[in-house]
Amino acid sequence: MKEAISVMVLDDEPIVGERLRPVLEKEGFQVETFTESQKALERLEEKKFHVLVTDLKMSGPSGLDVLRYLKEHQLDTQAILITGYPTMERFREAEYLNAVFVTKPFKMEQVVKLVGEAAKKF
Amino acid sequence: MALLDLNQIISGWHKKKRPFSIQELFRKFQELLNNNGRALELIADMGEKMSGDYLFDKHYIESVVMELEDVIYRIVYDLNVITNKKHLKLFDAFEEAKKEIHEELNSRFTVPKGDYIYPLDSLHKELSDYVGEKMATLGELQTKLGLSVPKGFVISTYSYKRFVEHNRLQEWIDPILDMESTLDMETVAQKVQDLNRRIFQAEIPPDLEKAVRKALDKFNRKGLSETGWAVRSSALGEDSQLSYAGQYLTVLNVASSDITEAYKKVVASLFSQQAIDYRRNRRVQRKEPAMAVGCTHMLDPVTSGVIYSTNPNQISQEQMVISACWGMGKLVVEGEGKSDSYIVSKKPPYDVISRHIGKKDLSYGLDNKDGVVLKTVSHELQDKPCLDPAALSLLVQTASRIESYMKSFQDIEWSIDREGQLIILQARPLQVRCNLSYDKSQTGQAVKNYPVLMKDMGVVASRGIGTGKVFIVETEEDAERFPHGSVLVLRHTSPNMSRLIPFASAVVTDIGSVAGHMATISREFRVPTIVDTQQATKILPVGQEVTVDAEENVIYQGIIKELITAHLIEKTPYEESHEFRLLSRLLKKISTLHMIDPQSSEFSAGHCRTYHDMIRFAHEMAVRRVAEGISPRQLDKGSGSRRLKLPVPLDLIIVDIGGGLKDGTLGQVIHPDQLQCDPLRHIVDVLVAPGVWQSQPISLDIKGLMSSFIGNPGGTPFSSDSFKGNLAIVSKEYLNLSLRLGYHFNMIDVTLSDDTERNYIYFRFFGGVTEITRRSRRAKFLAQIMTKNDFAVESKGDLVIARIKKVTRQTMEEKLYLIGRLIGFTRQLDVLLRTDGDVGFFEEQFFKNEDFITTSPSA
Repeated sequence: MKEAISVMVLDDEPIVGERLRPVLEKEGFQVETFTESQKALERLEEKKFHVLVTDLKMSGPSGLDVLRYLKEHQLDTQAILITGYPTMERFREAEYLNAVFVTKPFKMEQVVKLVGEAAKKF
Repeated sequence: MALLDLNQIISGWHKKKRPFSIQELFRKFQELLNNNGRALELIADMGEKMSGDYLFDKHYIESVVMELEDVIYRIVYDLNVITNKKHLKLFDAFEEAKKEIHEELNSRFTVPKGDYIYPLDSLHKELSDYVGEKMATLGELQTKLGLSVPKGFVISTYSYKRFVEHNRLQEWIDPILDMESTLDMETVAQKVQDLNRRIFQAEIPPDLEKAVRKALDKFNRKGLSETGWAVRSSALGEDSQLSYAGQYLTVLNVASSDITEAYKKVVASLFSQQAIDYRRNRRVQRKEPAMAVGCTHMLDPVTSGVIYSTNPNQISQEQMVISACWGMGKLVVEGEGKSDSYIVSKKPPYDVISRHIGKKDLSYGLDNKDGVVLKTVSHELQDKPCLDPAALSLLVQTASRIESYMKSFQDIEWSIDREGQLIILQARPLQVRCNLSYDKSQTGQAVKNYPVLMKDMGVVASRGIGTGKVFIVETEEDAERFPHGSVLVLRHTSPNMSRLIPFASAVVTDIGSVAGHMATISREFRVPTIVDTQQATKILPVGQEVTVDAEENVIYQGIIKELITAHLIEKTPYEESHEFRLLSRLLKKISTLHMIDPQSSEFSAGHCRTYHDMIRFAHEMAVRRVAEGISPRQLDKGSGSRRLKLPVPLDLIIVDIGGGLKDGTLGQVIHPDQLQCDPLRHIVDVLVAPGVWQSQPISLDIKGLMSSFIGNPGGTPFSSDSFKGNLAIVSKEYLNLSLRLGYHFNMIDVTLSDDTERNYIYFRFFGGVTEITRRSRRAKFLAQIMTKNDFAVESKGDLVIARIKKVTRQTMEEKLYLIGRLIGFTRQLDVLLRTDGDVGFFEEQFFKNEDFITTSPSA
């Protein structure tokens, strides 16, 4: 059997993980949620995730910092970046870091779809 | 600061003795209308987030609230600018509402100021902040569903606040509630004990004590003998999405003289160690818990128990689970055996699937003095089932009603008294966690057995599944007769009909918008709603049982229980999140509409409580201001006014506020082909069409004639210095047309564009040459025609207000064609309407003359 797709959800607002987890699990993904980016980075060192859904602005390392980590370590984790304020500059940087954008507030099914698309690459 | 600006602006006009220029007035008016639209959009957007489809965080809530505040402020400000500070009170109302909203946002839930005591039979859900969710629900079951509940009253959350303040308990409460507290467990436990001791020793404030005594006297006098009381917790948030089951205290069979002691015990249970742990584990961020306390007459029932409206182990089986014992339900609730259990089908004829009759040798009953005691059950009753098929069927039907009204599986406590009457003691959402045990394909199979009445017609405005009998509401009388739990079917949406939404199992309309007021209310009450179907009133047969699937946008004939169950399961329990609860509380303070009837004396700035009230009020007052007319001084040189030359005798002054006339239009007199204002061009085209302008002289009968000599008839509140002619304020897409024809006054305010969302027509008509009866007949004639043409109509006496909005350009053009014809047709119609029967005759004439509804020239 194919290995289950693992998804990391990182957002300092606990509601994001709380609500995304059950809908993603229902689709058959393995989900871990984090509210602190430092802890998420530590976990990335231990375990490979197929998909990362992360907030942009957080206290401590930001979403972009986490994306940079992925790039530096040449990980093929597919990233989905959540943000409240999309700016052109951020958009370019995220693009450079191979991430797709979602703006808050968003429809749950939208993220589920994006995670599904990202998962197809494995 | 901003208020100061306003004063400067307004005092500025007085100094110059110059009224607002027309351009300025209309610019402000349009700005106000735009802000109105924006505010309604924001409210609709917030409502949409409640559907469960979206993920939003606190930041979203804060930013949308801030934008809304800004927009509302500008509306209030602009209204005062154009009405010469007539509605300064609206600033106070705004500040008041804003303050409350900020208190919610900061999560410092403040107990609202209310009464000390609320009788149970006056309660409904909206009072849950005052009486706690448990008692509010009980009241709602009685007042809205007509179910029997115990008699009694509630000592409010405000009483609790008073009790805490009177005894200075807050300083003892705060450290216990501090979520970030670094205190160790032992210290917290010690503090909890201290607080409990203080509560037991505390004094009930004398005025509160007096109010409680008064309530006790009132309820004791009603009964034949002094009854004991059940004193029950009803904390804020208890029995809502968080159940708090068993966290707080109930004291049974309390004598009137001991009520205050029992009250303190129940209050203290708010701070028991287990309640504190429960709140912490569930991340309840409310810093200020509050306890309302219900005092209800003690029952001495034959049988009691609990019913679950679904079988939590086998949800797909469409069954309910009932536990019952003799006497009071304490044995069942405490789970001590000595009870029966039944599994009964949810569907008629409510077959008993299985039953287990326990050995019920003991039962709880009232003690002679106070409290309750375990008594031995007589031998012949011990093995006898305590519910017969009739009682089981009644229980299942009642639980079904509560489930569909509350829109969640229910956990209900009940008793049956010596007269065989079923009494509901408590109803709360049943916590079910078994998504995986449900087989989806089963629903698919079940659905195939039901004919589809409508599919993909219209737009889903509020998701969910609703079932019931079709009931079409067209008139106010229909609304009065609306049977609760039916499927509400409407031609179009109107704020007046919105009050029916909480009682409807689903709503389907021919016309309407997802962003409209009604859709917002539907989402707020989570009533499945499909709008803009065009044909629902024609397709859905009155009285037919239907299932409205507002998930897939299908309406089936018949009731599909499986679909409801599947939906109740599929819902992820998002309602429990802090953000959802916050948004829900905020929406209550923002989107609830109290200002419904513009003719009512309560339609005033001082009565505006929510932002929605302010929007509605400001809109009406701004329109009235514009309808009051323009002073002749405003039409002086410099206003750019011109005269439109028409082949019919209509003397029309045109003022262009931007793009309403072709570039390079010169001179005082202009021709229709120089008009660039779209809405006016449509109306003028109709007015000059053959047969539209009723130009033949109309003979007045004596009564009509006498009345016409009076001159300016009563009820036409033009200010004496307002311009008496016909006036059109125009831009490319906008028209404000004021007509004074045959002594009546007609104002039409229109925006016509390619953007459906911005389009609207506001039509206002009153006055006339004859006495009030005939003018009212004309109003009736107009109201009937406008209603048939999908306008939302309000009419009182000789005043008619008709609105339509958010429709396509093509529909707009059809409606403008209708209005053009009406202007011509109704000019002197009041004179002709001699009897009530004439209304129908002329209406027929009007429609007969030309089949314009379907075949307007622009269509």
